[in-house]
Amino acid sequence: MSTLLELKDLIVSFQENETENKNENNNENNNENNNENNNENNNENNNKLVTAVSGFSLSIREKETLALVGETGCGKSVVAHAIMRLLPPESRVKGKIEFGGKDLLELSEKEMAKLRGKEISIIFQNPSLALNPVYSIGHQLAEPLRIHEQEVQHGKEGKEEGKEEGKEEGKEEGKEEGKEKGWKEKKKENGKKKKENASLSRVAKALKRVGFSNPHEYMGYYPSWCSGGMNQRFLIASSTMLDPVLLIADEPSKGLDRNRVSELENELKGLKEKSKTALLLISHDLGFVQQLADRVAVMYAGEIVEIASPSSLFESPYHPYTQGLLNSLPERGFVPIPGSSPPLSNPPAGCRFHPRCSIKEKRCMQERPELKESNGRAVRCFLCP
Amino acid sequence: MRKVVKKTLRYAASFLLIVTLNFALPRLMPGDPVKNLIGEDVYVSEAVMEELRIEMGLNRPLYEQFTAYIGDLLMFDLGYSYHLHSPVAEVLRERIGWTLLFVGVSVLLGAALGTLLGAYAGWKPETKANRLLCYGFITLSCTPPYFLALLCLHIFAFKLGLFPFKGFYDVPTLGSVMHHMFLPVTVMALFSASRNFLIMRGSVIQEKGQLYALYARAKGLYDISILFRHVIKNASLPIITLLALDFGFLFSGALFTEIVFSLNGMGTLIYDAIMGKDYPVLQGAFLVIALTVLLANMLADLLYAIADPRVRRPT
Ligand SMILES: Nc1ncnc2c1ncn2[C@@H]1O[C@H](COP(=O)(O)OP(=O)(O)O)[C@@H](O)[C@H]1O
Ligand code: SF4
Ligand SMILES: [Mg+2]
Repeated sequence: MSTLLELKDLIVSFQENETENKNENNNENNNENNNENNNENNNENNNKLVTAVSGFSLSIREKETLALVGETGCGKSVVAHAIMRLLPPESRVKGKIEFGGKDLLELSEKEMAKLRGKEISIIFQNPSLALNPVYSIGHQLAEPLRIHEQEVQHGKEGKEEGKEEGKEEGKEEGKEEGKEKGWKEKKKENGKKKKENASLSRVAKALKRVGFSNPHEYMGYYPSWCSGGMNQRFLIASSTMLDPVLLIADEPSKGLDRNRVSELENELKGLKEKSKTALLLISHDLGFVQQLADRVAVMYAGEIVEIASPSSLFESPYHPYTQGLLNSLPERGFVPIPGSSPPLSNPPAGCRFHPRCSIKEKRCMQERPELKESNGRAVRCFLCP
Repeated sequence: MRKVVKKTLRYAASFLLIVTLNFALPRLMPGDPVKNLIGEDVYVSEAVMEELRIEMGLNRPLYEQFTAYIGDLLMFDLGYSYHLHSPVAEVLRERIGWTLLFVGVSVLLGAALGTLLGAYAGWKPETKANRLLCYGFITLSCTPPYFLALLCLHIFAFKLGLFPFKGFYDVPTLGSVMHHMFLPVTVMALFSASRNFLIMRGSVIQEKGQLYALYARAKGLYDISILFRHVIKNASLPIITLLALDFGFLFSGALFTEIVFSLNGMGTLIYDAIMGKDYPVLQGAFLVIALTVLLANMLADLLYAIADPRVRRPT
């Protein structure tokens, strides 16, 4: 299977402006300062530079489901947003994001917009806020079609329409020949209506796919009328409307009750079976990911610490952090990892996990371990095979 | 449904309060209610005063007077102006059309201008042009409209001679009316626009940070189309409320502007009535203005319910 997306040495940093509300002159000054900080090593605290993701390399294969797992705040969403180039302007992204032979970081915003929602889609963490409160569900679900099908479909539909209308026109011509001009205008309108109807039926189909048996009723609903779980299904339908080759699901199981989580699992499974979409599944919950993922990448403080298949990860986790994560699962006794994740503005030297690691050695505090690959697994630890 | 009932009750209560105040004021004011009801500068003999007192029913108990008053209101009888020698309702009917036209056109123009410019300024607040625009509108919003009117009159009518000084028209044609109305409408529209601009700008700055705007981008929308297809509708909800709240404010501004431009609308009518202590006209004018503002608020509530699905959530 060939590689679909490859992240190479991705580094994402944020300028944390304490003087955010001051005017632009100040901002410019800050930026300059930060640039200097960037060039030097940023250990100063007054112009905090948060490096949310550092040296992140990962590849996703076609049709693969890759899970990205880690505690809240370790930088999972930042990776997701970096791939889609949705990070706010105060962020700085370095490295390479290769997708379909192109480096996404080098595309213009316009070229990037053409990929978004069509080739790469995302399901945000908070579905009820991701949907626009003042537009109906149907309108919002049809939007990807409206945005992306304009250029692509024009050629195709033009031809199809031509054929169909041609037939109709033939009949009509026999009856009345004089009103050609009016007829042509009508034809245009007809075409538009047909297009609308076509997209409506596609929306209905998509809604059925995510489990709404009477989709036409829900198309007139608004997000505020629906529950979070329903909104999430709308969001899934919307994001998969155009069969993207890569779907990023950011914490889809967060805030859902047990039943909804297993329903969601089924939906995502169905999605995997029915389409050729690759899935980047982001979660803080190892248990949720186990059933779905082909591979699991464990992330800690902005770095990947372990990559493995779910079965080998669950049977024999290598990295102490992965072991800790597994032990903190309910079915393994809820044993939490002692301590808390380090601040990303000032991560510990050496191995980032060393303050919380029970088997650490002296070198762990000075040298930084690399991600070592062997037997199809990778791990970032001096003491692991 | 319950909300609708509540709202309706509130409007009914406001209406009743306005009417009651209007009834009570001349009767509570110091001095003879007859004088208060016909106006102070009208000279009549004692005998005529007594006649009027009986005719107006001022010697009857208050509740009878009140029912009579309500009855008159329902017949659109707002009393008689002894200054203008004409029923108040007729005087008002003549004048209010012009003022409503003036205010209506200005408010609509101002809303359109302020909303669009404000939306754009909020979308890209850091560009020089938009910051300049912002300063300009802040200045405008702090300037009383009559001052702006005087300034415009001085520059464009007096110094440059581009526009006429006064009146709605020379000859009753559309061209003449537009020529005469250009300056006053511009002044009021700018004033109205400045308030809408500031609200809209802040609203867009807030709304564009919402997750749905980011999701719109994630769907493949590009730059300004996110503003037009997603942000603007959300951001303009506060404008609807503002329009209603501002209607009374703009109305009063329009009255002053009318006086500056000598437009024969409600403004000059009220001014003359104050000068001549023509209480019946004043009372009638206040009643009509209060009801107009009430109506504008009702309209805004209705519009809001149409625009915001959260308000009309079915349960
Ligand atoms: N816009 C931002 N400005 C500054 N820091 C940010 C911003 N977004 C994210 N971060 C930083 O990146 C870290 C990782 O955030 P995130 O990716 O949302 O974590 P999670 O793994 O829970 O999704 C946060 O701890 C925060 O410090
Ligand atoms: S490198 Fe050292 S500190 Fe880090 S996880 Fe391995 S043993 Fe623990
Ligand atoms: Mg997150």
